[in-house]
Amino acid sequence: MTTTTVLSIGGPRLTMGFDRFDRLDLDRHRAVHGGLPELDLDELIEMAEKIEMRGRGGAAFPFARKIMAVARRAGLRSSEVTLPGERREGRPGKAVVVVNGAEGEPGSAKDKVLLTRAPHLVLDGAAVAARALGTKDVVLAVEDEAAARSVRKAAAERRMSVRVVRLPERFISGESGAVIRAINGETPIPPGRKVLAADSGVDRRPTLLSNTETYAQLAVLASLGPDLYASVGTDSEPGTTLLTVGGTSVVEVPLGTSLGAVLERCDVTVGQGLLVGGYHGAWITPAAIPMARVSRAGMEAAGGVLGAGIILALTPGTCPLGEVLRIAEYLSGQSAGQCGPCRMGLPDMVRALAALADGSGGVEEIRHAAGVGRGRGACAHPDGTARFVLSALDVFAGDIAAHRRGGSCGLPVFGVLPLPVPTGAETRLSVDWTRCDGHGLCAYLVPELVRLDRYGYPVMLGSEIPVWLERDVQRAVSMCPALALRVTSALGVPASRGAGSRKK
Amino acid sequence: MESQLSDRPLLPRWAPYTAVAAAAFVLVAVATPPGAAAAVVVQSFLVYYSGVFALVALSISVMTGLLATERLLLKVHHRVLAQALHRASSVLAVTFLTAHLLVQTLGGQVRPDQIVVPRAEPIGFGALAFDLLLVILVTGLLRRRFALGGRPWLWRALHALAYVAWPVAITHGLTAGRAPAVWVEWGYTICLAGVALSLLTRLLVTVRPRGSRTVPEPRYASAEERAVARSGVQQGAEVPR
Repeated sequence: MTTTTVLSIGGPRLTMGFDRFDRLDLDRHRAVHGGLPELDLDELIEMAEKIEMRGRGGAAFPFARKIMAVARRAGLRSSEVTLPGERREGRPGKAVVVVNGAEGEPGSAKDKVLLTRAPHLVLDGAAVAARALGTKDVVLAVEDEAAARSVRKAAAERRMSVRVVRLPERFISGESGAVIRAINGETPIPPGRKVLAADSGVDRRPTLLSNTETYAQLAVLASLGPDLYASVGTDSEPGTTLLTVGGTSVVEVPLGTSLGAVLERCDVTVGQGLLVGGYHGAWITPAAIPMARVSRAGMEAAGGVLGAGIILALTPGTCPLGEVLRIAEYLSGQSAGQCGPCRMGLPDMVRALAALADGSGGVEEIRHAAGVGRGRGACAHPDGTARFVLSALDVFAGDIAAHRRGGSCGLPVFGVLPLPVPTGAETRLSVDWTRCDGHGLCAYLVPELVRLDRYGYPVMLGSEIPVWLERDVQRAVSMCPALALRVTSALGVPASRGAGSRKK
Repeated sequence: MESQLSDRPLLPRWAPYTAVAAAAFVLVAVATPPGAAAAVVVQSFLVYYSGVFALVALSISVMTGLLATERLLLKVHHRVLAQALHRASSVLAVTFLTAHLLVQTLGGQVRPDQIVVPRAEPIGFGALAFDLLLVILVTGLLRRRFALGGRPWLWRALHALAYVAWPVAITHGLTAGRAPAVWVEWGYTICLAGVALSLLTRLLVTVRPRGSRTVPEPRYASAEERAVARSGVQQGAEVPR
């Protein structure tokens, strides 16, 4: 595991005490942050409304509205208004508080850091919310073993009952519907029909599901009060936020801090572009950095998104298109394969990107492939991936021109953008070319991975075989009339374009 | 908590339970008078016709196997279908053959050693065909091993034993037991003609002039076809073309 450096600009809040202690146990936590504040529901909603608190998991949903919906559903607030056409699924009952600690993003570390080093702050926030909602049921969903251990220990220290649920490390398992499904013991993939957790969540009860940092912010807000909380940050977005820079350092900054200052603090040199908002985020040009501010509005003005606060820089000297292709391949493989636009669209996008990288394709094909999502699909995966790829087309226009001219920009692909460490179980589809006779059955059976060239011979997509395609691939292997198709380990086989394994 | 899609078992989890429940149902049902009468009918059907049905299924299997690589007339999806038919009829043939062997042995018509040791007699032809089919069955199930290994020709050679096993089995069907009924003879004749035609097609395809191969237009499975192939697990499939 990599060690994560924690820094701060302008005084730490969530990360207070991190300079002195590796992990804040209950005594240290109380010494640093004070006692557990007690708020009733109305006070809590008023505070959250006053500072316009928003979720920190990427979607930035207003927290006050979320907790109000849960309270109404749990029968704590008489349902003043039911919007026309508002459907109510699930059954009312005692509320459940869920802390979403899943960071499917390889470039994010802030939630892991909070849970391992300041578990009591997160639990304080969850306890405040649970108390306001009149419940004792708190669930933490997390991928990381160390974080789960730390929270279990903290819960024992403070004699609070917290159910810890482990999630598989997968890009889409942090989606709220997937988290709820995992807690309910189902396959952790986004559900086909959108159901609000506030309506029908854990065991179909009204559920308050928020990101880890949101609960930590809530704890800070409850102990400081809205006025003190808003003493830093901008007028419309007060307070601080956690950023993960380069995948290895977590930095707490007041909202509105200049992006340049953050990068300087983390010693990051930006090459041809900067990715903000993670792999569902957007690329911005180095020229846009000095003007950019760390806030939702500031990032939007710079052409990016704040998202879950992930910032990744391309180091000078690496091939931007190669890096983008590498991540696009990964994202395409991370699809759950449930929805057509994602299942067919993302491999198409990867194919178009690969063609662009070797100079045989154009930008138009990518725009065409990227347009397939547009809100279609159970989750934001196709749209997020399209945003990532499309913004790269704008930011790396110069590099793309070089690729189109010469089939390469001459730069190597360093692989600077983080990906999960390979487990060794990854597989690829490969062909024994001496046996292949162009029967074309493989392209018919797994069009996601195989296309035919004009002579009828297969063209393989070089990426790993995603879990959801395994059955189709096995069928194709056993149906190949020439016995030429097979599944090989992805390790040791040189990947298509330098997207091999790497360890950090 | 691994994704459950990855380690789906070969048979669905309910399959063994269903089989046990069905067996129990049959055992109980046979104890009742109408059940016993039905069992007698089924048994006599198996005694007289399981061999015929095994032969018909085997013939279909040989035909579809021969046609499955035909590329002049058949499109990719036809060939996939032919292969699926080939497998299904092979499974059917093996099932009927098993029933045939069990019923004939348990009924006392043949000694157990007669069904495996080939001799120069009508039943001996059946034994020879059975031995060959056993080799084809086992290597067929291990086909993917051969795809990984370095000797695909070995698999082909073993699988081609079907061309020996099939006529031997037909001979057995015509010579062993009662004199075949007229419609059974007709059935065998149709099978012979079908296989001959398939063989001719295969030979034509194999010796065709090299330049005549038409380049197939890539065609990908449509959403419905893939949904069928996928045995209906994933939903929301909407495949753009």
